[in-house]
Amino acid sequence: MRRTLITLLSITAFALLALGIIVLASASSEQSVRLYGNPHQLIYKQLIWFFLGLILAFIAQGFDYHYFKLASVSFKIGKHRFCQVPVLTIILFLIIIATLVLVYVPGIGLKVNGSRRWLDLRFFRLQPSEFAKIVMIIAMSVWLDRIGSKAKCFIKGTFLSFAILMPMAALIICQSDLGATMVICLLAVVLMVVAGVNLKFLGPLALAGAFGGVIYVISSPNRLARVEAWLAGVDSSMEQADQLRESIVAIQRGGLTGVGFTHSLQKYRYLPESHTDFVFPIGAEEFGLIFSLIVVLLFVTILICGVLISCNAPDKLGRYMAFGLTFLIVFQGMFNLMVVTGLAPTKGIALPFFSYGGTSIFSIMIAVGMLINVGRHIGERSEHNHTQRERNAIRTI
Amino acid sequence: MVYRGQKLTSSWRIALLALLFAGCMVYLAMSLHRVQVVNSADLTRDQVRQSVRRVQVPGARGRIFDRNGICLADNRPSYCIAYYVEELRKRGKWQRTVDAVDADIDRLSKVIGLPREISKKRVALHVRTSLPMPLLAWRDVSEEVVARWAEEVGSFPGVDIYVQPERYYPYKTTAAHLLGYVGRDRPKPLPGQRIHFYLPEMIGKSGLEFEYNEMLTGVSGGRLIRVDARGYKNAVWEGTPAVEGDDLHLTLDIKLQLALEKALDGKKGAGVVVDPRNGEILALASAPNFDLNDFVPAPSHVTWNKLNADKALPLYNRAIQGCYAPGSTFKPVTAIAALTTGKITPDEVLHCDGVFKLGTMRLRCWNTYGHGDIVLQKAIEQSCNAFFCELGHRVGYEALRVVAADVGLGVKTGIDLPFESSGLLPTDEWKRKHMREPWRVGDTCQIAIGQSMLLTTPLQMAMLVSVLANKNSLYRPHMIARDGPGEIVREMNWPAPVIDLVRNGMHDVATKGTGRRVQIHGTEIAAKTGSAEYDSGGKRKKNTWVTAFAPFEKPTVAMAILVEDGLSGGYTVAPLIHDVMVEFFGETPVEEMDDSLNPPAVEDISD
Repeated sequence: MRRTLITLLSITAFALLALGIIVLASASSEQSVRLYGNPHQLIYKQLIWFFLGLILAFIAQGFDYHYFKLASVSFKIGKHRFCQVPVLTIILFLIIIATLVLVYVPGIGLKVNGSRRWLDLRFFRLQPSEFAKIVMIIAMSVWLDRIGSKAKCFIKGTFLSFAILMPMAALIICQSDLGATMVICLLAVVLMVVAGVNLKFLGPLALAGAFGGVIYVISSPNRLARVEAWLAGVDSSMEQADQLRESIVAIQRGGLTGVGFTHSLQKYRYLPESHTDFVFPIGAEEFGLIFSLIVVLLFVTILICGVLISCNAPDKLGRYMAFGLTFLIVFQGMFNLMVVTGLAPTKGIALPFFSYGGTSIFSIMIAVGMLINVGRHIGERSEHNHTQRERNAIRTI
Repeated sequence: MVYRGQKLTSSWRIALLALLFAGCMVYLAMSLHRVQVVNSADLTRDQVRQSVRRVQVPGARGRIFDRNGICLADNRPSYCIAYYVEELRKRGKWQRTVDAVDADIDRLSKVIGLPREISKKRVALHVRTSLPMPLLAWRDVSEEVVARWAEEVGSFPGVDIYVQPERYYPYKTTAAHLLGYVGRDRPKPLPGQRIHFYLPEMIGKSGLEFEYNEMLTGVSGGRLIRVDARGYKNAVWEGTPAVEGDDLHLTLDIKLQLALEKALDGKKGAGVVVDPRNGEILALASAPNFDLNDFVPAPSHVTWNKLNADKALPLYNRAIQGCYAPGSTFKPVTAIAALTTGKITPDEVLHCDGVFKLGTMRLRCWNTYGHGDIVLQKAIEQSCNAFFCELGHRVGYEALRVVAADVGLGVKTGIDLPFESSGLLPTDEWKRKHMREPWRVGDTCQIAIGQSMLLTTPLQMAMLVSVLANKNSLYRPHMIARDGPGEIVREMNWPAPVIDLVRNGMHDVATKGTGRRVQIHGTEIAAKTGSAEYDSGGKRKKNTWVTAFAPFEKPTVAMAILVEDGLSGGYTVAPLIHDVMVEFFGETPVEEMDDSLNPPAVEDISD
């Protein structure tokens, strides 16, 4: 069981990565020529991120996820005793918060297309919000695991959970990265649902959040226009629908078997962002419905593996993390596909494994690695093991 | 699986969420199938429509030849300096590309030493609307300019010489009105096809270039180009090749045309030479004229304004547009009307005492002493006004008008040239409407001698005289050579004695009457002179005419020449007819006519 799941998950992830490289090799050529004058420049870079990502995934799958909980300290401030505070998680959390703020610091923060979402590390552009998603999963899982059955009460289960979510969500929405904000909020909410947070409290709050999201969209004419274009449909003459129209044209051009590798027409500037968020239509154009269904099937495979790992995880932390990571991968993939086929309004969500971008690849590889790590613990006798590890961990720190 | 210590309560929630997910995935897969397979066909079509553009490529314009195969309108290569904007494209906003091209044009302007021909606005328009086409920055440049450009070619990427055919008229001013000129304009799209891009095509603006534009243009070809989303082309397919325009073979004889224009040189007037056997136009000229090559590629403002401001109206084709009273050249028509209606017999003698009296009206004959007792044939020879006024009076206007209409007056001749005028053959109705007066007998008498309201074009008079020449048929005059007999508009069926008498009268005009100066050695000519007075700023002036045909027995040529502001038909125009006849029959005059250098005698001045 354990072995089968891990093997299946690895193969699926590899298959997606391989498909991603092939599709991107063609889809990025036009943009690459435009930026570097060389059609292969972008795919070379992507290959570098791919190999670095493999290393990260390897590290992640070997890093026992219990350390997020067990690398902890206990201390006393005045009368208050703090028992087993998970310092590793807190440090990660603070680092992410810091980088999200650093984006605004001139010199290191980078402004691309009018948005400040990137850190300029000279050789690499880092998008902290991608890692924020993973850290949110870790932090939320650790927290929900810690409060255990108290998740049902309002203060700990609902209020404080939201307190963890809010600063990160607030910082990301300040970068007007609606896609990432949505993913992070959904991650937190889904984890709370899984952890058994009382739906009487969570429901109204989630609704309020959704309402806030609607207000946010309406507040900006630009964003509103996008949603309006989506609602009006592909055939509307709105300028904002152009990208979606071209995207659907690409997918339709593909037909059953596609127009052939590198024979995409839509990548020639018809379809903007055809190497990042809108890479899937190019793949669908070149390889047809067969490709589209294989991609959907592979994401479903990941979903099944992830859910099985989650259900069979030895403890609550593993269960939460596995589900969060599965959700992260599959939801982003699914939402991206829905956007490019016009089922969902355009939000900046990249297609995992496919879209160009180092940060995206890294975060997805780490997520896969961590998921495998949880899978590796299936069947362990949790409680005893924990206490043993707990003791060890406390001793080491 | 059994877990100790921890109670895993949330399995159903996970299962629910996973099912939700799976449902979404299935829906997604179904949507993909719908979009990609079911709806695939219609969007493929849309996409081709979006990205493929059609460029109309004109075929080479047909040439124009005279009847002996001498080229009158040809094509020559014209060198244009063209910008291929795509090669100067700049990233980012369009304006950056426009700026770059604009700056480059300024730079090149200094190198080749020519001022700019196109404004920045034009550049911006080109970038916006016809990006894949060459932008012609300088048209029709000299070889020297091309050489200067060639020296610096390395520092001007994206600039090239674009050769386009341009019209060339080897005979310059000759037959200018006839041939017409071309301009460049947006081409007509072929039926059922859209033009996305085009280069301005040559389009006839006047004369034969206008009349036969479609034939000369040929069938445009198409080139398909595929453009990317920004409008830059990324592939070209040769589509249908252009079909060359047909050549025009005219009935015109350039030698005769040259002789006619030489005869008219320095005067204001017009002449038409026609073959009376089939209506072929052998020469058709209007003076003054203009150089057609000034209109290539387009007339400069200076030329255009000069031509338009000229009081002599050089752009006006007098031969088919000019309306003049025919004067005495109309008298044969009156004679025929009188003879066919039996109002006079060939032998009836009338008396002319220098003035024609009718009631209170007095109409003077040009010979103030009178012609005495004369018969019809003599009256034609002497062009006696009193005699023909009497004939007009006897015949009545209606019968006269019918004959005049029969020989083609008052309507367009139907020649294949644009903007022809129909002249004027007035009626009672017309006079009441336009002059608010009833018809009077005096009007009939005036028209009987070709004066007053009657207006004809030189072409109409040439066709009239060719009817007299061939005795029977009015042909439709035409410029294009074609096999077979000419197109007959109407047959007259006059009794032979009637037409013979009139022809004999005209023969006498040329041998001993008012038109003696038309004579040439070796060929018998029949002619009729005429002059019609008109008022020009208070001064009495005369439009002078001669119509003629030759040889007398079997005519092969008929002509009418008009000169504005002449002295008399016999004195001013007859020598011109003589010159053209000499060119046609190849006769060299044996001796100068005795009186040709003398000042005009009294009888010459009046016809």
